[in-house]
Amino acid sequence: MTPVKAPASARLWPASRWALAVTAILMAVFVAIGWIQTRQIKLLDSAVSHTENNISWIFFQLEVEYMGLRDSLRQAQRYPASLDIEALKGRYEIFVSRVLLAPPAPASGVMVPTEQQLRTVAQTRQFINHADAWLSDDASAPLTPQAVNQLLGELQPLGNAIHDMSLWSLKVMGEIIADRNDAARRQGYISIALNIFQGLLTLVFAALLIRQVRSVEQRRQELERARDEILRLNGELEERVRQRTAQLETTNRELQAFSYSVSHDLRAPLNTINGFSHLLARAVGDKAVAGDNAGDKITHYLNRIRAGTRQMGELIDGLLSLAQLSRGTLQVGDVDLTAMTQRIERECRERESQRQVEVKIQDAMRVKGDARLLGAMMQNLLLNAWKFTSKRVVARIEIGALPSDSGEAVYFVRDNGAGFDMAHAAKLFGTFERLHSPADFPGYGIGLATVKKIIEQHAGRIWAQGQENEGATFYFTLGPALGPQCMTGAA
Amino acid sequence: MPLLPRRRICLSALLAFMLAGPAHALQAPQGKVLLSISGLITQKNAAGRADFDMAMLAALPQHSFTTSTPWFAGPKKFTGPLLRDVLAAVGAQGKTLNAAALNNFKIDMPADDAVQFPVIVARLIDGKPMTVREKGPLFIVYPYDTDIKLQSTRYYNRSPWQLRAIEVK
Repeated sequence: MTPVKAPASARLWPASRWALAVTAILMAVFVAIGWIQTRQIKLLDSAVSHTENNISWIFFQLEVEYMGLRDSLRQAQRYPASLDIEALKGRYEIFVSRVLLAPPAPASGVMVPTEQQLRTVAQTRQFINHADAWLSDDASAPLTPQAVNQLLGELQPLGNAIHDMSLWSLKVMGEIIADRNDAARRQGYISIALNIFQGLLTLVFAALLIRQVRSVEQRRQELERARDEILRLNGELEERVRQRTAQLETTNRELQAFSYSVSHDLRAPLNTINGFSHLLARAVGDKAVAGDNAGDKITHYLNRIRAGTRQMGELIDGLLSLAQLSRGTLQVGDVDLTAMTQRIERECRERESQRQVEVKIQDAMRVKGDARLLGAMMQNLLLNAWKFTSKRVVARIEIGALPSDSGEAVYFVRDNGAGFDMAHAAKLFGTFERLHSPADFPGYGIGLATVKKIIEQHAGRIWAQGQENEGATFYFTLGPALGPQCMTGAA
Repeated sequence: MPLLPRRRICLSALLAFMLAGPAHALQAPQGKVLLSISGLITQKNAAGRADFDMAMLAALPQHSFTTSTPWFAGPKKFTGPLLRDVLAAVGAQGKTLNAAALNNFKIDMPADDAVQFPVIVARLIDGKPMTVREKGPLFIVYPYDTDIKLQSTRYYNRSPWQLRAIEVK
């Protein structure tokens, strides 16, 4: 199945990155909302600025107090007899206190008075400077009807200007309030829009989170399923291996038993044949006379029969030993490979003392393994070498170990005998496999098969190199746990 | 006298004091009447009200503090009796004070303010009497600098200048 290719945008923007982007935008929205709300608070602060700083209020009060003073002066003009000079002075002082509140110079802030208004304030102050002579607390001049007339004459022309000033301030105040309301409304709308946007972003964020959580959950479930599947398959496999192993073991046992019983059962008739052929030879020998052609033939046939039974006996011995190898467990112990090989060499020399064979055996080859099996193995290898060098005038056989860095010792048995064609190397260790004709070198193809079996039982490996008529070298290792006890010297 | 605002617990003490009444009856003013208190009061020295002249206000325990205000450039030192002492002197029993200025400008303030804060009825500014032109002769002043809460229009509006009368409601 080909993997589904994710779209480019999805590859560039995985869910986590989207979440990050949404978070960033949300933060920006929060900042914007915070800024707008701060603005609104500032707007409110300026909207509710103190009334005493509010020119509109001051001008309103100024007009009220102006009218109060003007009415009092008119009363004084009309009814000079009932003039309450203290009350008039009090009224005047209150008027003055309001005039003093009016800005004498262009004020900064939301309500900047016009030049006309500033002129009016200045004219009012001039009036006060003049009127103080009669109406202030420490006035020295008596308030005569003429003075009242004069003051009224100065005060009355200011009336319209003060009234206009009051109206103007009210109008400006109204405009300011309207402006502020508009601004507040605008900011309110922006605020609502931002809130909606924020809500949407939060929804997107939540959706992303849900998606992420779901995908994680899905992946977890998939992993769990995969793990369960693997465990199930593993169990099945183990069960199958167990069954196969049991089958193999059973088959093996049956084969071994069969092979053993066959070998044994073959021996009995063979012994019979052999025994009777001996008896027959003796009987024939007794009756045979020299020059009797028939007797010679019988003797020849009997010899052929005995040679055949001997060969078959040896073959059965080989098969028996091969079968026995598969039985029982390894009896692992320290084995002196050098001494063992030397003993086998002696046996060979005793058997064929006439042969010229140079045997070189490395000293101090000690290994761990089953002494009986290793003995059989070395005997097979050495006999093999001995046999295949039989046509050499001077045979050379060398047994030793190769230096090894990996810790696994490699032993070898080398000869300068008949050798073999490497093309057939694979057949060397097969049971009943032979690379040479029995006429050249006797044998049944059991020796090397036995060697291989023993090596395998020791968890080792065996292989061979050779060349026809040049000789052969058999290499073998014994399993890592059954390796050399010590390695001394080179081959 | 500490300028820190009093806690509400003082209110009960003040009320108890108010209900018990002053130690002595209110004298009649000798000079020009500057402050008239009417309404729910027990001590009176005129028809339905208690009048104070400058000497009577000066006779009450005097308190001073310096504070910034919206009406003057830079901090000013205000001196006068505590509003709560003035109210106690007339046996005020209401919850709201309706203060009127010389021009009859009126504002309402909770009587509790006089208990919570050392509000004074200022009669001196920087040690000198205040003229009408200088927003005098009496001015209810809160210690604005001691509490950020007091630096607001709400409390500035509860600070009538050219104070002339208080009606206890």
